[in-house]
Amino acid sequence: MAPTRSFDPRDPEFRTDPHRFFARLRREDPLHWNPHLKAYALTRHRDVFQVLRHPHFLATPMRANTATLLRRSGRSLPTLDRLIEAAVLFDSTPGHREARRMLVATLNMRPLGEYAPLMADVTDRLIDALRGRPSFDAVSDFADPLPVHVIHRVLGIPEELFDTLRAATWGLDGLFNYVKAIRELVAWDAQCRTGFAVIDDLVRQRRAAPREDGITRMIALAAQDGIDHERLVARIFFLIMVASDTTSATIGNAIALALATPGIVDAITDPATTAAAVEELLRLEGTALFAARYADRDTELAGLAVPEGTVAYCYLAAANRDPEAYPDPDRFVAGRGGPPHFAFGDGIHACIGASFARLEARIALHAFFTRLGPLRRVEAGTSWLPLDAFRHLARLPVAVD
Amino acid sequence: MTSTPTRPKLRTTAIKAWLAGHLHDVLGIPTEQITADATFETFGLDSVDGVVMASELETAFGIEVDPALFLRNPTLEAVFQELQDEGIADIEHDG
Repeated sequence: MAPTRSFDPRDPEFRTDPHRFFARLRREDPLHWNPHLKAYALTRHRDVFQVLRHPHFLATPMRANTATLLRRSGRSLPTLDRLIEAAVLFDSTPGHREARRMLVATLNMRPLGEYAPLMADVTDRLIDALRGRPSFDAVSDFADPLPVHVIHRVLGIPEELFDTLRAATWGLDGLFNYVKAIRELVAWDAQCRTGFAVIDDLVRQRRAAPREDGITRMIALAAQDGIDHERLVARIFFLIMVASDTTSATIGNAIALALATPGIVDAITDPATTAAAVEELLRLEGTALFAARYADRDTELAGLAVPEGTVAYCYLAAANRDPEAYPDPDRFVAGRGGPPHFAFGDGIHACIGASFARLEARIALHAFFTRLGPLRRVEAGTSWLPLDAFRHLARLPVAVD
Repeated sequence: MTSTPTRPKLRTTAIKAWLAGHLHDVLGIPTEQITADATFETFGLDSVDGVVMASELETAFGIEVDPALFLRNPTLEAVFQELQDEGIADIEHDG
């Protein structure tokens, strides 16, 4: 028998259909040493669970790694560094807990249900603009703008700034790529300068004249925690970035899968099963492909002794289709039960916006499939944005029947 | 990956000379060791060096390459091949 082919995770074929590669790895080589990544690739539910909860597997130190790369190329990008510093996902220091708490408090400034009317309003406006059109792009006309508008409105950002901020956050999820070009880092730094300038201005305005909005709330939380102005600005921008792209991708992926698989649209449109359907869609085609961790000392990885510095890629999307955890894992079964999936990660870096995103996805998908009538895909094949860590559709043209 | 609309013609000797200069400056590697079939690994390059090299190559020749170009390809010969195959440059083998 041929040995398991080592997969190149940057191969376009892998990007198109990672599940095929994962199924084979899970079966034949669950603790796969990948020479391209110089890291282990984990694909089983139990191994991913163990590493994400492991006290000695920490988030990869993005800030230090980026600084090293830039130093060796004779550069420094201080604005991008501020964004990475604000990115709690890459932070394993005690400051992480405090930063997380603040972001959670921002999203939970009201009972979650109170966001529902705002989310429904954003959804309805986008759908109103699509009604009567024989065809449209479900990604650029619906899935992509929806979460962007929601988080901007939660924060109290005026509508005329939406486009500027969208351009400033666009593509920054490439920060999670396995390998980043220095030219990309330079471009992202410039985007951060634009975005930070917009936020900086808004924070100053809200300080002078507080409002009932997310930015005003974050100013108060920052004051409690002793967070300075610069860090607050970066944190707000980071929140916009993560609340936008991940939820956009989640909604787009869900629409694509629903259009390709019988039974899903019915499960979404029945209010009794909408939540269960969204949960199952998150499991099957959540956006986050992996979470990277490294060992901060000599330790054990799925029963193997590994030295300090060992890197493990926890493939969340693979664990979510592990037949050991979910029998017949590629099938959509709303309310199937089984262990919690990893669409929002797990452990100390589990997504802080999970409840917010779930609510948003339920409202968006239910309205999309209820109000627009029977839809079908008009293009074969699927094109994904060239991102390593996220599955995010580039486009999804649909026709209304 | 994006490819430039007009593909520049690049001579292998020019790339080799650039790489030899770069590795000499950064890692003190004797210039004569840089040949088309020498593996980058033997020079003790790490992944950070590789990404920096890709960036320097872009600047030196006005092209845009994958940041993992020198991580994925073990030798300069393989790099030439990728630049050609990906339509990034027309490689002229001149020695």
